[in-house]
Amino acid sequence: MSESELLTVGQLEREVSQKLQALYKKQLGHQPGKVTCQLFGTKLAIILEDSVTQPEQLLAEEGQPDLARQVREDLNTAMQPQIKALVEDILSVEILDILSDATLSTGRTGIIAILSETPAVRNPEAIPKIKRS
Amino acid sequence: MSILREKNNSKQTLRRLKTIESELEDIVKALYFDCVGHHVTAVSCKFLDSLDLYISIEGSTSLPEKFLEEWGSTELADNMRNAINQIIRNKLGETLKDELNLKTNQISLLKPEQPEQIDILIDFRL
Repeated sequence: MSESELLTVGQLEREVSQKLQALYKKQLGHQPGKVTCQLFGTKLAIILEDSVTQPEQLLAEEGQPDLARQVREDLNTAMQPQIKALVEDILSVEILDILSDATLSTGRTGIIAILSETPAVRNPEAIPKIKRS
Repeated sequence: MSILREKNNSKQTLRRLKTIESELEDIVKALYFDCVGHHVTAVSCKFLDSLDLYISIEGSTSLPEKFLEEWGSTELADNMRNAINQIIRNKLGETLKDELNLKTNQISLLKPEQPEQIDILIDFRL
């Protein structure tokens, strides 16, 4: 792929955000309100706002917080392989490790992906903490 | 609601019961969507001869529950289902009282005939 065909880091981050929103909508019937995605060298940080589904909120509000937490934990784990495949496909790099957690009370989910290398982009100078030779 | 206190098979009473059944179907659909954020496939409400009310909710399983089940967390999906059913049962009692002034004696969750179905029997005798 020539340099002119590469996407900018902003375009890659936007694509990850939009496709993650669509994935959550498809699998859980709930689209997160806002997705923030930021690449730092070989690390990708993702924050999903309003990511907790209504059944989980119902359980948490109606005296079943432990069950709601367990549901969220399992949903996060179950979503991970699809999130990994989606991000790898968009960034064209391998994910070595993926970590995620959510807070039921605020509805936020945080995901950190450790990448095998920094993705190729048209404007690598825009990626914070990139190691320059 | 006085119509539930007397056993009367007049055409007028039967028509009134049909109207209540129809109103209840809409109320149950709206209640389920408000609580779970999921449109159920169908709701049917039917007063039995005893004037107990039988409610059947079809297609009640939300996507998170299905996703957990497909992932292999069957037991957790079942626990989630049972907890949601209990919450809906309690909220149904409150809704019937608030919206139709119907006081319930007992609301029982029945063993469903089909998967993704909730069957409820309401006893209004006070």
